[in-house]
Amino acid sequence: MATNILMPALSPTMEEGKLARWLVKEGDTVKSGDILAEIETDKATMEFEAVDEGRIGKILVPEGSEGVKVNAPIAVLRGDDEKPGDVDISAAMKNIGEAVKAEVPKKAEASAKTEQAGKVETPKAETTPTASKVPSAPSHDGDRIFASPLARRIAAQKGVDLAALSGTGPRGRIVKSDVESAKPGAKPAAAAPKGEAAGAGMAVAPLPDARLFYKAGEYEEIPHDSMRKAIAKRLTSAKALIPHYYLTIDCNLTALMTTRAALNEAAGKNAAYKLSVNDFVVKASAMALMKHPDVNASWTDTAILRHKHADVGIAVAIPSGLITPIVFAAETKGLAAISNEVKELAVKAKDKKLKPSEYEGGGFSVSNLGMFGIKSFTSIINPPQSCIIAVGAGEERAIVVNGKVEIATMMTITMSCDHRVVDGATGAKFLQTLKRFIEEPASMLL
Amino acid sequence: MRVIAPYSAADAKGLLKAAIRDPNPVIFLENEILYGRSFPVPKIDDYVLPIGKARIARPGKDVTLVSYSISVGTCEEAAEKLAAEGIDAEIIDLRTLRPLDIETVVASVKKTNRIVTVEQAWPVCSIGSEVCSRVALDAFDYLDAPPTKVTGKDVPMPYAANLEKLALPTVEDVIQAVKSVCYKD
Repeated sequence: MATNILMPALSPTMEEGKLARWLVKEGDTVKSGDILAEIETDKATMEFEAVDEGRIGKILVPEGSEGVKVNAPIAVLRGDDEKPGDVDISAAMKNIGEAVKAEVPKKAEASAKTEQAGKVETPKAETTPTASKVPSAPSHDGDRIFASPLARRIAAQKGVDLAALSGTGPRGRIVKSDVESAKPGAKPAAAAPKGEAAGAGMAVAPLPDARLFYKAGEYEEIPHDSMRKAIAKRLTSAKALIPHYYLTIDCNLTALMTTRAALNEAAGKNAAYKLSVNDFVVKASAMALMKHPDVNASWTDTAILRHKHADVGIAVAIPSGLITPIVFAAETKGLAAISNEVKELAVKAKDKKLKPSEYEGGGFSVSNLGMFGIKSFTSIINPPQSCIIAVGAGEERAIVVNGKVEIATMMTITMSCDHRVVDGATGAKFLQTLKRFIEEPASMLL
Repeated sequence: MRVIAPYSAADAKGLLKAAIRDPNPVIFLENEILYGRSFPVPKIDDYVLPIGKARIARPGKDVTLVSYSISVGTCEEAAEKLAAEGIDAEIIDLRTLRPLDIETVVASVKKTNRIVTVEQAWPVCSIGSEVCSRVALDAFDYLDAPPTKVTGKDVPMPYAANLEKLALPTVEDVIQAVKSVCYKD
């Protein structure tokens, strides 16, 4: 029996991915567990293993194809006893047009064995136009308001101003149902709540294409890779849709530095661990989150999800962008365990080997730019989390203690909070606890 | 010149008689596959139907499905499934392709505001192309969605049975097209 090998969903949010590389050829025999291909998702490149055994009858999606939809057939697997002609490509053909969306490099070898696999050409990338559907966006850029002829006629009869409506049809087209639900003479402000997400109904003027401002040839164009696209999409919506506010606090690191030096000393020469200030910050955050469960929470439209563990994400800069792998249940882990886990995750992140389960979710994030000498900064919240702390450099500053100026190692932490989940005082109390844990690491033992 | 393409046995009977009696040349298109299907036929002496009149095969209010010949069956099946999802489709069986009874179609579109044509033909210069163009002219102000065609694929008709099936319009294709014009997908 020939079966289709489908594009796997490698993470819960994955809708499409890039088929980066095939590791098998048509005609190869594979068994369960063999690696078939490498699939590139938003954030990582993952290996895709065979589930069944058999022979690769036909590769339907050539390597390098971008935007392959989850569950679209990418190859056909057939049993050992079948002749090549038995391959049933009918089911595969159904989705292939949708599967291959983006331009496929010319070297596509997909048709190399077509004669063998029955005398039917598999449709290639040219069969695309039906597949790429433009998502509806309620924006009225330009002068023309897109409305169906019927919607225009009803609007004219009812005296509704079309410019005041946001359409729900394709590309924001105003259709009959939009006009019928509108009240005559509705003002633009009153007509907004049609949008799916808060704020989406507001017409935001798109920014002009930057190419307009520069002469061609005076710049180099670097096309977006999938990570860049994911960063742009997620951060734009996070910053636009989450009501951010910021709280800043200074922490005295004197005691922490002493403890850290002592612990690292105790580890000896070929140390099993080497603690960084950031490891203390992660641990302290986890402990503080357990004391303030209302900060360790996520927003949904119907409820706030309060997390039972402190899953702390760590922002890691990698050459092509950034990613926040997560130390799960950090409150249960010791400093050495956290330190080693963070190092391991950072290496995996740089190799793009992180699994989605290692970077998706989490309840809180830590972003540290102290190593670059940054004193303080603000971060954008990493949804579905509600808070992120931006940690600056530890530096010697003059502080006033009991009316006298003293020198101390200080560090500034700025927390970005989602006001829907964490109110000002709640966030402030959390930072107080965090400050205490950082200034007196021993108090974490209490 | 008259062109007739009936779906049901009753229409085939009534229109074939009319064709024979018509003084003009008439082309009578029968779909072979329909030979095997049974339909109720009224037992009336001298049952004759007028050439050039479409039949409302199923009344509905949400979308107009315009079809002829075997595809009317596809529409009926699709309409059943759509009804389960709360979309009430009206099916018009053209029966005669020339002269085309566009008045019936336009009257239906004025009621439903949407039209999907369904036929086993190639998409270019099909009967659906003509119906859609006439509707866009005569019922422009009544349209809430682009007139949409469901046809066979734009490929030479494959000989292999499995590919032939894929090249022809399916119930699923009709349902999808209806949902897109109803803005329900």
